Amino acid sequence: MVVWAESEAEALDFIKLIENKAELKISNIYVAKRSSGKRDVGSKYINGVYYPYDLNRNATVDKSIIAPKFITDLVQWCSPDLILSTETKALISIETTYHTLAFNNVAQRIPRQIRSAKMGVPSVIFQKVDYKFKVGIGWFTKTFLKASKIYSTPCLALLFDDSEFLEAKLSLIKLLNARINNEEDFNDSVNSLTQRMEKHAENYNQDTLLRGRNSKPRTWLNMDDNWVEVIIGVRDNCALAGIKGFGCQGNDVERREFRKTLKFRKLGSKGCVWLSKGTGGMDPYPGLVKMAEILLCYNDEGKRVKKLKTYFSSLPKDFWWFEHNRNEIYYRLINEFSEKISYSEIYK
Amino acid sequence: MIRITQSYLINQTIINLISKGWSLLYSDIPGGKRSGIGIIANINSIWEGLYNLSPDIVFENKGEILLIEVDRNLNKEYLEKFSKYISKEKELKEKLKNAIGKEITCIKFGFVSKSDKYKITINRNLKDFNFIYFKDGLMINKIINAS
Repeated sequence: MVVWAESEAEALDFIKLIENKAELKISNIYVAKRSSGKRDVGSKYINGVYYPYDLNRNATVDKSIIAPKFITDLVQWCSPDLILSTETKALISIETTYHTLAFNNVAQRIPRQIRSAKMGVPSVIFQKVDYKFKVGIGWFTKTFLKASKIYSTPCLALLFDDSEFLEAKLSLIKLLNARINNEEDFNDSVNSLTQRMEKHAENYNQDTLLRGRNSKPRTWLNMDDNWVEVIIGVRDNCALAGIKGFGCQGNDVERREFRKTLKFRKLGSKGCVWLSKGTGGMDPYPGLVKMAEILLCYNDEGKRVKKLKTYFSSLPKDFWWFEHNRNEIYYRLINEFSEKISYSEIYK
Repeated sequence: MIRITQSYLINQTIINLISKGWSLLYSDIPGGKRSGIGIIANINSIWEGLYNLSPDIVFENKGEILLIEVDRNLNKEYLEKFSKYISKEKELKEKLKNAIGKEITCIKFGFVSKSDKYKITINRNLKDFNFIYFKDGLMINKIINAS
């Protein structure tokens, strides 16, 4: 079995999670992102570049390899935490997260699993939840149920709260063992998880997606007979400051200087996401766009019934970050997911 | 050849200090699951709650806590970070005691560096400071300001 992990930590966390209960017989581990600094970064994996992880020396090897096409195809919408494969095919992609599901992360990981389903590879997300968050759990489970139908591939969510962690962990191990060893057992596990997801998805109601508290329309979503529109309201504070050449709106030298001040700014003071993060202010918008598409552009039979468009409501098309980062992965995905994309005339 | 990454330094420190009798309470490996579950989640929320930041590794041994930061070089920012931890030491000890069910006798600090040198003065309030680096795969731990 080969493990393709997003980072060293994901690989090690996974091995710790499944203990010795999973029948994986890992021959090789490869990691997508690495760094000498505080965060593992990089997107060379999009082009298939992976680094071998040496389990004996607990370290990533310097010399990279090129992953097979069946792996590279799977990671085009960001790297899942893990992919298990044989030497010739991907078996399952896995997301594991202990961040409790919340409004700001409900859609974050969705594209990775939908990509897997699109490529015909089963996927599962091991997701901690607070069952009081019924609206979000409804959106989350309904998205995966619909994706399973659209792509005829299991796209699963294994939900747990603190008290259910051990039980959920065993369910995950059972699912993985079945995927490796026995198709019939795997189908049973998929059916049992799907039933649980259907139970959670009973809370789903299209109105909860389109309208928030007191039935007020959501600021980020519109729908008419033909189109679903996702409105991305992310701003650029430097442009709004109105000072010529200030912050990320300055020239290269000014940007470099501003970046230094960001590094040493006091906790809680305002930053500039466009300079401090490789993905700028794009997270979690690709996820929201994809979630809106699956939930609203497809009917319950998995047939496409509406088109999808995206509107950057506070940023003009000539915003420097857009021009410098046409191929940045999150921006690219928003473009790829949307049939039409539009921008504000001015900074707002 | 292997790459000396942040994760490598953290993992090697964990392996070495566990072999010296320390128990790992928490670690923040790049790309890892900082929020965790159970005790790891509790420990993380203590730091986030008190300081809105957390160390890279936390060990415990017979009621002593060792807080470790890991990076390429030890610099002024890390000393400021340690000073922040010291500023709420009493609350920190109390919360850790509740989380692990043990009286906390003292809190020590350490830094794991990629480089074997540092160019700053380590404050006297950081007693028994552990400056750690790796040479030919061996962990070297220099104790600075020994009490």
